Formats: sequence, C-alpha cells, structure tokens
Amino acid sequence: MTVTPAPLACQNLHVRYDSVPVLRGLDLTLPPGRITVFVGSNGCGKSTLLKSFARLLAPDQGTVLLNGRDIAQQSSAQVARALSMLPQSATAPEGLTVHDLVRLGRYPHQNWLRQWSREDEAQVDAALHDTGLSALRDRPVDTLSGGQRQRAWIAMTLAQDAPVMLLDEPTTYLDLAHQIEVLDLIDRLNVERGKTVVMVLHDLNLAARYAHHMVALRDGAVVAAGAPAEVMDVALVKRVFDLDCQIIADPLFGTPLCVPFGKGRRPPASS
Amino acid sequence: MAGADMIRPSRAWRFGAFSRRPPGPALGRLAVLIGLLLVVAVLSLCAGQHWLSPAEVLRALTGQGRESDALVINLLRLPRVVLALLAGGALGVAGLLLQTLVRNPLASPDLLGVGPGAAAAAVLFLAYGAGVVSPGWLPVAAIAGALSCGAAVYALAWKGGVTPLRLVLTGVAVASLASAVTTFVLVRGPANATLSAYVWLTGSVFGATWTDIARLAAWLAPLGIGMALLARHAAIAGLGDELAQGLGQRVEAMRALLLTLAVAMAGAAVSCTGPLAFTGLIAPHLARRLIGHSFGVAAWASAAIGGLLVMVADLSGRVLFAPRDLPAGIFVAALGAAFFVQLMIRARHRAD
Repeated sequence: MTVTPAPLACQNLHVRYDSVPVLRGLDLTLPPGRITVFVGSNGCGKSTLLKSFARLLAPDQGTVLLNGRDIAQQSSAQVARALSMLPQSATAPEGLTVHDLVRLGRYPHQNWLRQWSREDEAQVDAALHDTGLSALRDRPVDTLSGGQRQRAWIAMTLAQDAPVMLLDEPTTYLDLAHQIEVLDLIDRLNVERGKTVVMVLHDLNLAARYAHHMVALRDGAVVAAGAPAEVMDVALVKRVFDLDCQIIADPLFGTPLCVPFGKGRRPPASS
Repeated sequence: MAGADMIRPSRAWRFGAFSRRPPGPALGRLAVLIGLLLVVAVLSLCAGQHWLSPAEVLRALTGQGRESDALVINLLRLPRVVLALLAGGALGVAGLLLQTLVRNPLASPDLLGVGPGAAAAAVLFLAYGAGVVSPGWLPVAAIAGALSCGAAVYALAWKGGVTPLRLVLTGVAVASLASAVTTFVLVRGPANATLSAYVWLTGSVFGATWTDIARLAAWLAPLGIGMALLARHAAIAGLGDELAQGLGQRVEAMRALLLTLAVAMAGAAVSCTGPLAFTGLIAPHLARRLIGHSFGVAAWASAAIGGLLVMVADLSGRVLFAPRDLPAGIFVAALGAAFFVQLMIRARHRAD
C-alpha cells in the first residue's frame, strides 16, 4: 500500500537573506487539506518560510518537498500547477480589469496554441463566482476597495487551480470587517474546494480561530506546531512574542483567545 | 448570482487545439484606429510640394497616372510613410514592453540607453567614420550603439539577477554617459559633421529609401514574430517577480529575452530615423488609455499609435512650414512634451 506524501514539507531547512541566516534547520510537515497558519513576531522568519515553500527563495541547506519530491528538481510550470502563491501587497498593472487579472492565473496551464480553452473559461468563471466578483469582472482592479481587490487576487490564484494555496498576510491593510470577509472566503475554499491552505497572519487571535494547524516561530526556529487549542498557551505567547497575557476561550468558536497586557497600564484592582 | 453567470454568453475563438479570448469591444476601437491610420497614410501621400488628390495617388500607386506623380509617390512619399509606420510601430511596441517589464509607466526605450546609445554612435560615425567608409553604414553604427548601451545597462544592473529598479537607475547613468559622448563630439568634432549630426539627432523620416525600409523590415520581421510568440509571457512579467514566479514563469530568463527583444526593436527603428524621442513613451500610454489594458490588445494598439504619431509628425513637418521640410522629431518631441504635462496634471488630480 502506498501512502500519499504530504503536499508540503521541509527537512533541515536553512535559508539566508543577504547572508544573514533567517531560518535555522526547520523540519515541518504540513497537514493536507487543512489550514496551516504561521505566526510569530516581525522578523521571526514566517514570511521567509512561506516564500521558501513557494520556491521564491532557494534554501541554503536542506530541502523543501512538494508532493514528496524536492521542489528544486521540479519544473516551474509543474510547481505552479501544484501550488499557488499570493505575495504580500501585490499590485496589478494600472487599468487591468478583474477578469483580465484572473485570466492570468491560467498561465501555467496554457501554451501558445491553447490560451482560452473551455477549461480556462470554466476555471476563471468559477473563481470569479466563488470570490463573489462575477458582477465586478469588467471593473479595473485599481478602482476596487481593499477587500474586493484582495478577493480579486485570491480569484487569480484560485484560477491557477492548484491544490495548495500559499498566502502571505492576506489581511494586511484591510479593516477588520474586510479581514473577516477574506478569512471566511479562505476558510470556505478550504471546506468546499478542499484546498490545502498555508498562510502567514499577523493577528494571533484570528490565526487561532481559522487555523487547523498553527506553527509558531521565533528567531528562525519552530517553537510549537499543532492545533491552536493544544499549542497556544500563556507560555507560548511569552516565548514567541515576549508578551504577558491571559488565554480565554473565544466565546463564539471556543478557540484560544489571547488577552494581552503589557508592562504599562494594569487593569483596575477589582477586589 | 449563479443565474447572472449563466446568462453571460461564452465568448471564445476555438479551432481544434487553438483557442483565444476575443478582445471584445477593444477590437472595434482597434479597427477605428487602423482606419484612422489609413486615412492619415493617404493624406501623407497627397500632401507635399504639390497636392495630389487621393484619386491621383491611387492612380500613381497602380501605375496608371502621370509618370512624374508616380515618381513622387513611389520614390519620395511612400517610403517616408512606410518608414514612419515601421519605425513608429516598433518604438511603440518596444515602449510598451519596457513599461510592462519595469512596471513603470514612465519607462521608454531610451531608459535602457537605446536612443542615447544610438545617438552617440551615430555622431561618432558622422564625425570620424563618414570619410573612411560609406555613409550607408550609419544605421549599422547606430544600431550597434543602441545594442551595446542596452547590454551595458543590463550587465551593470546585474547583481545575482536584475531588478526593475536597478535597471532604471543604471539606465539613467548609462544614458547620461552616452549623451556626454554625443555632446563632446558635437563640440570638439569636425565642424562640417556637426550639422548633419544635429539633423540626425532630431530624428526624421525624410530621405527614406526602399533600401532602408527593406533592411528595417528584415530586422523587424523576426522580432515581430518573437513578440507574437512571447506576448502572454510579457503580460505575466508585468505582474512583478514574485507573482510571475508563482505562476510558473522562469522570471530572469524571460526578462532577459523580452528586454533583448525591446532593445533590438527600438534600436532597429532608431538606427533608420534618429531618436524620435517620446514615441516609445507616449504610444503605449495612449494605447492603454484609448484601446485597452490587456497586453495583447495594447501591443497592437501601441504599434498603430506609434506609427500614427510619427506619420502625423512627419506630415506636420512637411505641411505647416511648407515649402520648408522640418524633421518629424521636432513634432514628436513637441507632442510628447504637451502630453507629458497633461499626464502629470492628471496624475496630480488623482493624487488629490
């Protein structure tokens, strides 16, 4: 009996950025069909880890495995058909319409002859539909609101039709309502389309709510990895963010909720 | 919602394995543009020292008219029109390609040192080479200058890869060095070469010969085919490195290939006409704004608008100050300046 390898894993991963070591020997296996979220303070290496998984950065040592094989040994188009990557703060060329942008997501499936097959059209329509952008398809991307724009980018990576989606801080620059809207969309893609999602999130509480699997990083090493309810506690927050807090249960979802307190303002003594 | 999706008719050109998405309304706008191009082309054939009616032009072209008319049309006016179309079209496409690659609407072929490089080489040739070898070698010298400046910019910007920002900054430095060479030769070179150098530096299509056109067409044909084959890759490159790589593009190799294409196209055009500054900057802007933003459509439109611009500039130069014949470069530059200011004002209003 053969065991299907995990879509993404890394072994002894070392990555340098301008000769400064950022990741120091990481071993991770990401669960298939689940949402994995990387958390950690600024500069802990979570974005670098995501970029390494997307093959945007080459490892110094160690390997990234995509479907059980070294990602560096696979062709660019092959990788692009297996995983899609949405970088942080992507900007579209001025004037490009939503439909034109989403269409570009079909690139790894096309060649000179085949540039708008029935499959291309069906995938683009489905991506627009699933992100609620069908009515906005002819609008230039740069005239959309922040939340709509982020959905357009997600639609583009969705049209890429890869089983794994990597997203680098998909909620940056969005107000709270749009953050929830985008995360709900990603959650829905995981449930309905069975996407394996790997993302970096800044907000620990939103990470705890949406992640099935949480990876906490500090100084380029993994501090803890597992279900948020199992790994996220006062000691972890202290180690990862250098922050004191209390952990309570999210009144809606039951996931851990971090209530931080700093060195300054203290709660009024109630007793 | 799903219902709204359903009633939308599917639009596609599909024959066997071949499939394309039709450009939609942009196709109609493109057709209007081509129509305008033809009108101006006919007008350019009519206008000159003496006016010929469109009917006379047609007779001359088909070899039925007066012999003197046929001579004027076939030897003087038609080569100018064809050269204007080819050179303007090539500059337009090269400009669009560069603006897409460096993701900056203010980029132009001159950014990679194409214009300044060609100018420096041409002026050096006029000052020191013209007496030694046949003046027919001038375009060869110019294209060599353009290509070597482009190559120098790329090589100097290389640091484990080339980022658009490094490319732009290096381009400014190399272009400025090339301009210094041009100025030095103009000031210190032989006086009799200076005047012809100035005329060349303005850029014009007068004195165009069928030999020039054949040579330019021979250059541009393979480049045009390359462009048609690589258009979909250029659109992806325009998304920026991380997205392009995420979509499976081999970013660095494709950038080198597309830059070479742009520099060779612009270099070939400039070697026959002189710099024609601004054509490569304005044509893509107008193309995107008036016709459409997706790369394939914008490329055709840039070519048409580039050709139209140079043709209009040449026509103005012939008609407005008749009987004097002024170089097209003057009018392209004037149009360019006006357009640039308008662009800045628009951008400022949008920023407010």
